Amino acid sequence: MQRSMLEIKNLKKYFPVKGSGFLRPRALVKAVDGVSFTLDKGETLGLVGESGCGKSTVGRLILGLIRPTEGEIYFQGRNIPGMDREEIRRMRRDIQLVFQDPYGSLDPRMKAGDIVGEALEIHRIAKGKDKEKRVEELLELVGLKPQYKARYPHQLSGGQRQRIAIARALAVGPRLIVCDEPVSSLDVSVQAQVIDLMQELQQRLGQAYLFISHDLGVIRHISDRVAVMYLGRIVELARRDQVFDRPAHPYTRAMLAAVPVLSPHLKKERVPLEGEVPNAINPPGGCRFHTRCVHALPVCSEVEPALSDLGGGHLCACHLF
Amino acid sequence: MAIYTIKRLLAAVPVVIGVIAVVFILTSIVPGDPARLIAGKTADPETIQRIREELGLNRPLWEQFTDFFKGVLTFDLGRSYRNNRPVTQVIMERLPLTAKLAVSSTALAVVTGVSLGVVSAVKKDSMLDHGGRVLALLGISAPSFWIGLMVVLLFCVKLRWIPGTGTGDGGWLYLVLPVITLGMRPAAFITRLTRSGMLEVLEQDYIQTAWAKGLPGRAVVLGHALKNAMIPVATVAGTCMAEMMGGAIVVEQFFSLPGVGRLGLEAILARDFPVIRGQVLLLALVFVAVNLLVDLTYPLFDPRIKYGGKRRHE
Repeated sequence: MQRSMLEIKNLKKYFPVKGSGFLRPRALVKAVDGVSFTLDKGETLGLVGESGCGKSTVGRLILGLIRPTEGEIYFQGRNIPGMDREEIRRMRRDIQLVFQDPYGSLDPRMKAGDIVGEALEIHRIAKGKDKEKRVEELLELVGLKPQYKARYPHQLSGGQRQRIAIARALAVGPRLIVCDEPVSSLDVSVQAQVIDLMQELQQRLGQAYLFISHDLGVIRHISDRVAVMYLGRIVELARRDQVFDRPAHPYTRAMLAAVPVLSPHLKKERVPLEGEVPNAINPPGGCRFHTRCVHALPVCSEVEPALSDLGGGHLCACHLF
Repeated sequence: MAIYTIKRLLAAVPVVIGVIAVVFILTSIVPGDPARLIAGKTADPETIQRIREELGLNRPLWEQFTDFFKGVLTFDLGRSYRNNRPVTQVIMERLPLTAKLAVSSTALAVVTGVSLGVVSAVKKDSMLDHGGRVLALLGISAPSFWIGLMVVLLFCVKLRWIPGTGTGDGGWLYLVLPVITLGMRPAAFITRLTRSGMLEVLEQDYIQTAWAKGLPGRAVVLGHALKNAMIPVATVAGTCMAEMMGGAIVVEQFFSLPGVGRLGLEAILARDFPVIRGQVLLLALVFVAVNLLVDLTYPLFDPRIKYGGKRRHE
């Protein structure tokens, strides 16, 4: 069987709560609690969920920035948590990231050209004149003039900065780019530009994206498949059209119903979503969503539903199906 | 940048004038009559009056001030009441030793402080970090005379590595203990400052990005993080050095080093006003100069701070 480029199996990450463990019982935040999915070459998987649901933690785990509590992350057949530091460092040629905040993700002390070029030298891809040339090519690729290489991040606009961040990520020729809310801090018009740019670059260079966002509009625009996360678990995972046209999980439906529509004549199904996201230190037993779910059955508070195929690869973790 | 420097230099002028005035007023209102002290307890009133006239102490205060002010502008700070030598000469004799002390202590403080701080931050919550923090707290809390006693006890009395006090034959060995004593507090301060600065910077997205780029750890910590955490350290190091240039009174006294600080102390005890004024003035001028220098080096640490130039965006 052909393996996917990225295969995540039962991934868990628990963080100790600050101030616990000494004289007090050790408390754990279950940020990611049993997440599995795959990602193929050149594919875009949208990872969507409320803030605090663990979606960014998944991204950081894949990048090897933090080590999982449990579970496996196979990238091109090799398990990332099993690698030593040097192997992880070398693997970073293949997996890159783009952060949400282009104000915070660029070193304020470095010029744009150095930010983009630094990794080229580290990974011995190019140096000297070659590096300069490559940096200019990369800037051109993301739609910036070569002159921008001499600018500091504070001399650039938000959109320009995010273009630099993308150029930087592309520099080493990665197979996968983890995009953690890459457009959330940008103006809507700039968001569209940056997303179009990212799609265009994917068509030209063929890298896969793990696109983490809470913005359903953005996810719908860019994703091939969509994974919906709730409290550290994936509740629904399917092709984009399946998720957006025939959402199955009550949480997905509630989320989609909450997106405002442009026309007042379009009547939408109203799915009330009440209450707050429960605490990730003590998630509810059974299905984690049962405390807020309008369709909750007695079984929901007892048994945790597993992701099952509703047909056509549409996975959903709910007792209703 | 040049324009900014000139502006800053001009702005320093009123500060310096103010300093001169304050120094003069303060030394004029302190109790104690220098003429009486110079003449001795048994002197008769005529002698005291004669000395007063010789020193110009009988003239109106403002006249004395304008004289003093003119003197400062021509680097003539008058003559010492005690030995009648020019004050500038007396201070210049003592300055090299104090400068040596100040520069080496600051260097020691920056080197140890920054390295300890970085290690503490990188190995946060490890034993190393806890140990470093306790040491830093001790360094800040312990008074310098106590630290002086302890280092003398350890290196001179117990280990017998280094001779005790004084300058001896002028060799560098005699500077070791005073430099350690003097550098301890700024070292501790810089350790804490570096640690907290590094912890803040290490949280930043661009550090995560640097890791994700595949940079080796050293490049991330020293290349990206440390440089961004250095601004407060530069400020503190500058201030510490300025403070010490004015003379480390306690340490110089403790180790019997004839530096500017000890000169000031001797002058105060003898009501040698011209020397006191000279010493305080030196301290103030060094402060102004060092602060200006530190400010001008900021752009080296952080390109967002750019003086005088036009700003794009923001």
